Amino acid sequence: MSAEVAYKQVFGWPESLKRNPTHYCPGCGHSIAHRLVAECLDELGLREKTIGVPPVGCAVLAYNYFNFDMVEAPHGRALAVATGIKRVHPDKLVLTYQGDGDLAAIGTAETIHAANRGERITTIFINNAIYGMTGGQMAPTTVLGQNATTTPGGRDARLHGNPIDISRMLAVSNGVVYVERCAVSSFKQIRKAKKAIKKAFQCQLDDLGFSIVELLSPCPTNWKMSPKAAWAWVNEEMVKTYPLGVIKDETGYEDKK
Amino acid sequence: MCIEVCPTNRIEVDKSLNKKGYSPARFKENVSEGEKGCTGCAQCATVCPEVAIEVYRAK
Amino acid sequence: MPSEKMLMRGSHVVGEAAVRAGCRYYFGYPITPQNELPEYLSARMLDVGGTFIQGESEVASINMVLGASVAGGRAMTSSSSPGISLKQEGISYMAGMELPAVIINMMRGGPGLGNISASAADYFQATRGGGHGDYRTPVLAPAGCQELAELTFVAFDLADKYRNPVMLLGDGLMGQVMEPVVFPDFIDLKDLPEKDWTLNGCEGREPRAIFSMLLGQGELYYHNLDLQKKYDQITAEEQRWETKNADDADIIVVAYGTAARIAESAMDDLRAEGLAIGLFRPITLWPYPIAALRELAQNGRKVAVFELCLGQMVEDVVLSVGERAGIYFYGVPGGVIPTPAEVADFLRSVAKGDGKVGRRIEV
Repeated sequence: MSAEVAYKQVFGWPESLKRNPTHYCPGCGHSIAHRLVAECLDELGLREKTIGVPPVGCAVLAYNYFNFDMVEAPHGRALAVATGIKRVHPDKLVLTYQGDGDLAAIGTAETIHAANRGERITTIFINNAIYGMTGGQMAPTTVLGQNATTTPGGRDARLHGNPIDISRMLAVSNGVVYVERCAVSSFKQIRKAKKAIKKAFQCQLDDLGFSIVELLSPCPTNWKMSPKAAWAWVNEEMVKTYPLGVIKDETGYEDKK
Repeated sequence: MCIEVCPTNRIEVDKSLNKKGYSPARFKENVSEGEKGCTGCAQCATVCPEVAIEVYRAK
Repeated sequence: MPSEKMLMRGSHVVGEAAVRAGCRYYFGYPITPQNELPEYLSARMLDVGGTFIQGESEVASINMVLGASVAGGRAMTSSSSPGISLKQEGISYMAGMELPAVIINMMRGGPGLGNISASAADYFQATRGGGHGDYRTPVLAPAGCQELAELTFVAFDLADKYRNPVMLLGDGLMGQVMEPVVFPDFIDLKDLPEKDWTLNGCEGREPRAIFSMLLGQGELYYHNLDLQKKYDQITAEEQRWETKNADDADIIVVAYGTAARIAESAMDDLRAEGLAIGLFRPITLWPYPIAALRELAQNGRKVAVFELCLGQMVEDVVLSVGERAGIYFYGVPGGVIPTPAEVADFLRSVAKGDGKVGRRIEV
């Protein structure tokens, strides 16, 4: 940088993210999602008021990356744990950060009921259509035809069931006020995702109800693709089963462009 | 991913290896003839999965 | 100051005692024979500004307890045998994460769906796990409504003191009977020792992370050793038991909970007949009062174990007594509650050594 020109920083390391190198694979969506959550917490000034619950999954070590209070939960139970926390500290921001197995397989009951109770909790749902941590088995959100280690030959509706759209299911409930699906596989989508996350946090701050942002996320390692191909697969294939956009919005907030 | 999105082509692959054994990206300091410099759009930083990029804009 | 004497049903007693002991967070799922407890607390918690959630399952409920506990609250859940099976994962996690919690088990007949009558076949589940990993939970065994009240207070104190889940083992009969109770006084939450490890937002301090997964080299090894030190301390300091008529007894009946009440009636009847029966009633099932029982098992005494199951605590009796005394066992499974007369028949058979009722345990 030249000495005569004054510069201001427009992009830097968020305070809500610890300065630890992550263990995530090259091209994984987790670190972007972590960063977006951290940026939103910073911009809303919430870091010191936040208590988070990570999943069991690749992000199980999220407490090494997020720079706020966190507590581990058994697989799938994050929203029950978060419910207990929020009832003790209703004035704090309580969030869960969960993968597809955690939220929509083993945790389905806890997810649906915390959402249905209208718990003032925000869930960041990372949907990568596969079980990453355990080496690539089918997830509830694995799409038809997609290969996984427990769906040799590709997911088949008769053999393995259909992919589940938990976000749309949750939207049916009156306790749920905001559901949006974004992706972290393109610049445009990442920008939208950040707005969605911030809006979801605002729902909680304004005591409106349960909010969830689903983030379609690439898993190059278990999809057996390069990061570039994985990002493209999200943008071109995955969105056919999981279309992006607002699924439910009863916030009444006007979107600032 | 940063190299893909940069609109002014300011980033390239670093030929050396980092501690994890990868060739990371590197900012091209020198602006060649006919090229625009970095505009500070921060698309690179937005898509970087490693939070490896900081962006400064001239005031 | 303590309450007046009240006539109250066991399940309600636990709820009232919990509230007085500072519990402000209850999460539970209905299951017979303890439904009266969540029903009672759904109203009582509102009185004291606490939280009551009827969770969607026993699994969800134990995890809500985990959350409330890590956030610093005195939290409780309750269930009966099959529901306690569901909670084992959460209990193991809380043991590994060192979180206080109180879990009430009003036991019923099992295994499986079983029946809704009182049984005491969850001793193994309570004292040997029943979740995975090397952990222990203190287990308190009240024998009536007054003890239900007092031991609820003890449960919360032990849980906080040792940062561990604690189980209170009642049964369907105890939950349903009404007995006179005098409750200890309300605890002022401000008097409780401050917890410097909870999650409440990292203002003014470094963020805290509470977890039980330890992947680093040797980390889990040392953590388990540390937990064991805690369990050793609990074993050394928190054993509770009661003896009656033991000094001149020829036969020591060993029983806990409702079984102990029945055995005590049998003992009184047999004493009137001239048989020297004494009672050893463990109140902590873990840590089991091994030394105290061993002390009694001498001078040619016989030890007669009576359980409302087919033989679980008897194994701890064998561990305590060994070959020092003849050990006899009589058990009634499946939610059947025997009369004192039946137990008296067992004890007469033990006195005669004729093996007609119950059996001798070969050690």
